[in-house]
Amino acid sequence: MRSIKNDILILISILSVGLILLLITRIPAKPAGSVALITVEGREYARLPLDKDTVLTITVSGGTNTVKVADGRIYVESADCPDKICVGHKGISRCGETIVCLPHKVVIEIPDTGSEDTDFDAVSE
Amino acid sequence: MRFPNNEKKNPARTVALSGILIALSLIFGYVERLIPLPVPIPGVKPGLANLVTLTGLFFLSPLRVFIILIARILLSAFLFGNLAALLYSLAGGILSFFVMLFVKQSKKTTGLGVSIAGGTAHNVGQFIVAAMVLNTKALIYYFAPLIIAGALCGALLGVIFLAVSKYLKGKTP
Repeated sequence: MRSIKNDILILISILSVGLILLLITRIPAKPAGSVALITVEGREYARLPLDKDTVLTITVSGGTNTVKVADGRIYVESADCPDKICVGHKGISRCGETIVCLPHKVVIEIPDTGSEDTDFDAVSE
Repeated sequence: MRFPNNEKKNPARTVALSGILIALSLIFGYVERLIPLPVPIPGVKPGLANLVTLTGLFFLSPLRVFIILIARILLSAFLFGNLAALLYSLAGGILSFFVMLFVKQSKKTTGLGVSIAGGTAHNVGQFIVAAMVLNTKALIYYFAPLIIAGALCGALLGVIFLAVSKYLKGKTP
């Protein structure tokens, strides 16, 4: 039988799965990172140390994103992508945090400090 | 407007109705662009156009609904010049269509449940494409928020659907 009870059951189960996943991926308080890794289409584009204030314009096939490092955090200052979600994102500074610009396929992330000793391994996954 | 009860018997009406529904879903897609959501997560939007797919599943043949869906996605990508998002829309739209069809055929839930499952599936589809295109583990942080947002937006659309379908029922086969 079609019933509203089953609808609510679906909603509650999806929401609880979502909340559990949220807890798994978010809860561990991450330490502040030292470097921001910028990748374009899955390939490394640049690494910016977070302790030095800089401005970098990322040029991709679809346009540009200008990122700025200030006060130990990195944020997208301006971009000509259609949705501007990356510009609206708050600055990131902790390991594991990311800013993604889907239209330009740009990912800015703060890698875990432990991953820096694998620098020579350029191709992974 | 009356929905056709036999596509073969009345092809002209079927074509006209499909055109109207494609236009309607295009407008929905356009209108929701004008409503900015204060969420810093790519891909989170109400998905008003899914209302057409959802309603269609209950009143038209699945094939007709699928054609309307694909036509809407292609036209919207070309009209609004957002070709970068085409792959995401296709993945989300197609996955959500089949999940909604499955949930609807199971006859266990009302349109509300179908919509919740569809909204979630849409975001999961988009996430899969994003994971393949961007190829980074960092994206996993968006997975949980996307699931939750999809379920909530789906619930919102489901409530609208339940209200709308009351008025369509008397005029349906």
